[in-house]
Amino acid sequence: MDFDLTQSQRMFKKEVIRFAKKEIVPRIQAHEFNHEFDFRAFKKMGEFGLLGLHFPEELGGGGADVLTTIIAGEALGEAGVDGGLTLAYGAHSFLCADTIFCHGTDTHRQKYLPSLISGEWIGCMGLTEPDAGSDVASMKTTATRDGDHYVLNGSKIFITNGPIADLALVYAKTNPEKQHEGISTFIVEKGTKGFSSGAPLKKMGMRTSQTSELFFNDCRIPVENLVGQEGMGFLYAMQTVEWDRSALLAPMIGGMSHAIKQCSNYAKKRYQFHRPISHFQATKYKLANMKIFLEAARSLIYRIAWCKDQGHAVNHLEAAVAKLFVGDWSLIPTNDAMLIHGGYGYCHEYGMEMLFRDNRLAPIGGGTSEIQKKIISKLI
Amino acid sequence: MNFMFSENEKILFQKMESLFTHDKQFDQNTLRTEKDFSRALIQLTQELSSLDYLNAFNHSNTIGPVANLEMMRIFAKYHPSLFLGVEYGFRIFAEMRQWLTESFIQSLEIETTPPCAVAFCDDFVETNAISQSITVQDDGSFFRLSGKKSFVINAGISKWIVVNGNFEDKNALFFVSPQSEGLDIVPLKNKHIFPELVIANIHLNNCAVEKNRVVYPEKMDSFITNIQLMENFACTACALGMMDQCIETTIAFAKTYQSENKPLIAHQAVAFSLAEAVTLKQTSELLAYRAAWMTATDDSEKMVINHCARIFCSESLETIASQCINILGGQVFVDNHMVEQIMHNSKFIQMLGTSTHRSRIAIADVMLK
Repeated sequence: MDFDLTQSQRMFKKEVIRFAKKEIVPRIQAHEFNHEFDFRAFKKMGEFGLLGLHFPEELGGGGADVLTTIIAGEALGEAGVDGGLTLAYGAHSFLCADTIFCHGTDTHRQKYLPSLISGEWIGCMGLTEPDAGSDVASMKTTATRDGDHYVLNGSKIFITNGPIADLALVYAKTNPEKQHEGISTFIVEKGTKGFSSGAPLKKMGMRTSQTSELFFNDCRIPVENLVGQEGMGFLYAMQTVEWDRSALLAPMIGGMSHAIKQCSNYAKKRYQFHRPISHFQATKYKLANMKIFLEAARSLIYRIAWCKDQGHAVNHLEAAVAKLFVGDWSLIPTNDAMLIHGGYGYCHEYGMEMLFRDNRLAPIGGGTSEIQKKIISKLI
Repeated sequence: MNFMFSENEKILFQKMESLFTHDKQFDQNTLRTEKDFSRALIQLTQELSSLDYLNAFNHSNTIGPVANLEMMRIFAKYHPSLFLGVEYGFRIFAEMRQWLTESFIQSLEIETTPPCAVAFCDDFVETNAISQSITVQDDGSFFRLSGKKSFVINAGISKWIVVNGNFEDKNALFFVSPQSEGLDIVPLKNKHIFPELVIANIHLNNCAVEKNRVVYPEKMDSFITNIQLMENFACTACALGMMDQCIETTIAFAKTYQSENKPLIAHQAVAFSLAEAVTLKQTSELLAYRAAWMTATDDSEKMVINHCARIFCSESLETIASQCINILGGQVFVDNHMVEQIMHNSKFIQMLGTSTHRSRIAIADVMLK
């Protein structure tokens, strides 16, 4: 076994941190406070090459391996980038663009990926429905074939990038009689008649990401917009799980590194009872526990990235373990990060309450902790 | 990066497994006395030497530390008491050798007995490997030691007991013979942890130690760090091995035991509890592997990650054992059930060597530099 990063991976990580601190971090507070998406920062990420890091160079991507892509996500978190922007990045690059790349036609790739990779277009994925969350197979959105078109009817909810997306990758039943085998995947462009999005939802955390419902009302799309084969949609959605369990979690791990640095600096400067609070064992315990969580979680996520790079099918057990651990076990250290800052931690200015709020999504989004436990218990 | 063991390493693990699964001579029931335990330690060490077991941390041309950790885990899974006996009796001495001259090692006349018991712990409530509360007096060709050391593993069966102390502002290691006048070895009776393991408290009452049995490590901090590293690895591997036993036992039970006309594992609360246990186990092992891998590097975070792994693994073991007990029910409280034993052991593993409390403080101190 070998857990080392290459020299170029280490250097790249530093570069991403430098970029993020310059171009993104100074803008976070204002956008977070106002629940606004930072279009400029997102475009800058595209220019820097982050949005298409793992795609081939001929499509405008960086040709990087999965591990390097994960490290970039970790670096964004470590620089202090908020969860909202990294979530938007994840939904755009991995849940939307990557599915088009893996299962779309050459025409799809040529038509959509360069714009998505550059950040000119923003993508989203529409899977969850008001009555079909963890139970995906019970989705009610339908896609009915009508000549050279499919007609979509139904709605989606909790769609990251929904209100700002130029392109939605939508999952709908082409055969409502069937369960998972009845689901297919479609590309729906913004402006298509019968397609609209709801107002951004007000959320506890991840506030700079825009989340909404998507509505399909006799929305006609050409048959060419079917991605892959009919009835394979569930499988495609599940393949994004590998990204869910690595790339989307990586910024949270980086966020913990960031929090540890913030907390250490604060604890050394904050005096109570005539000494820095870093001298108190209660503070040391919290810092140590944050570090233990960080190191434990990091290995789980790197393992998934490494498996993907090696071409191994990611073991569902290992993927679920990573998601469950980061989801459930991150709650205490993020709480501790806020507590170390005391009353200041509760205020917006210090960023710890944002970390606390953002991380509440970890046990919910991309498959709840209960679903992960269900998967794990089935496989043991 | 590489998260897989090589084929050669996997073969080694199979050999290790078969050593314990095919051989009944190490059955716990045969280890009734200190003598039985000592004999088993010696025999095991001889058999393990063919698998390169004890050399791995010291020699770069042998299997690496990660594979070695996995072998330790397999050992601990089947015989946690013998495992700790071997680690404390042999591996830690092997690590200590680099601080000793060849002539000194020869003078110790170590042949078949476990070479050393390490007596660094002053008070088992607050373990501190660098504490020096032992008083040392010069008495001509002897030193006279007074004080107490607690929870000394293998104290009653080792050729030497190594006591740390301080003389004239110099850190020193005193090699005390168990037969020394003024040394009282008090075995821990009726202990609820690692039943077969030989553990004792030692009382030194003007105990005479010849001056040629004293070593003054130049860099005591490095020496202690190395010993801590080995102790932490022993605790980490022991925790991983016991986790395996706990979870395998409980899953097997949950799959066969019927409740409300279905196997226990078909009940969601049970299944989810096992899922959490498996999550902790997988996370523990990856962190432990990384900590082991770092021992072969010059990474400045080596000791921090080592502490992280030991804390996480030993505390996860306690959580896992507790969850498994909930699933196994009342049966664990009779006939010395293995999972109940592991529950007790998990607490000891948290205190042994550098306690999880001290480890946390050590981690934080590095972070706050």
